[in-house]
Amino acid sequence: MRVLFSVLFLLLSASPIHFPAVASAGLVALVFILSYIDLRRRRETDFLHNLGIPAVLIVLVATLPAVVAESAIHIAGSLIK
Amino acid sequence: MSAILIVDSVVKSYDGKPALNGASLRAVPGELRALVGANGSGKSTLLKIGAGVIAPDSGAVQFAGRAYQTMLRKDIAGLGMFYVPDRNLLSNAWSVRVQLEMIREQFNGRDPEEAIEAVGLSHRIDECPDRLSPGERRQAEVAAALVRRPRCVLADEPYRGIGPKEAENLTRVFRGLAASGVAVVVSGHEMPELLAAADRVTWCTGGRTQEMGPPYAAARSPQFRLECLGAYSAPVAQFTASSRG
Repeated sequence: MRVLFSVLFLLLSASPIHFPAVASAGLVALVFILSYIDLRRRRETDFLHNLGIPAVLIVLVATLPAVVAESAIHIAGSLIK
Repeated sequence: MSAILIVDSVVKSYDGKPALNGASLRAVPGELRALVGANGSGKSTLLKIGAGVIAPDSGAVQFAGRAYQTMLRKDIAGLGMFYVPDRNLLSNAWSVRVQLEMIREQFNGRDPEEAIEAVGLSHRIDECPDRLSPGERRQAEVAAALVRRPRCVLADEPYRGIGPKEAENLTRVFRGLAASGVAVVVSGHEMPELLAAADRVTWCTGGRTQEMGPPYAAARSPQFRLECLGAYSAPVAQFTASSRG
């Protein structure tokens, strides 16, 4: 998804790594929502319930790479002017 | 023996439509209880409340001495509750073996191979659940319960969509769990299987519950016979009375 956004930015003649912070936050939020929908779609909540693991924890773990990557891109963007 | 799970006079509505209206349930260690009733009578809602999956609007729930309306999942699972829902429990993303291993590691449970052998599914342990038949999926779910070494199992319609031989196998495993001191509650409307398996019967009807006692006693109730047994009425009554003395 991030690649798609970067390509879109390139096509719009904008820098693919100079991404507004609000847009990065929006992407992370989108990943969180899609991860939750995917968990529900795969009907894994009852299995997690029996393991004593809250579904939201799994969704947060799934979102973590997006948070790290967006932060790294943001830092890289601020260093490369 | 006293009940490990006590659900008392719970009320639950969905969008203003009542699902339960003062229903109660007990799960007693060493006992297999059949929760029977027609579709939409509130059995699944009652089991979900007992398992802590959903909270009741009012009423009391107590498991292993702890009263709650909503309890943290890790707490209720840690106390020994295992809930088998009326839909597929195991994920299609991993093999049965991997998922049983997850349960074993989380709770220091039983050996997955031993558990899967107990349900007669050793030859399919490395398959993903979506490659199993409905009966095999139910067997794999019960194997998951065996791996957990639970104190209480709530199984919602485990006999759905399975053949007589697989049903017999499931009954044997549930009875084995009860014999080892686990409190087992099994819901459904497969009357011959449930009444043959159960020690006691709880009848869920119109959002309320009635304690019917042992299966042969339930089978003697004219109202229960009329609403639940139907065409099976005579043979079930004879079978349960003769088998349980």
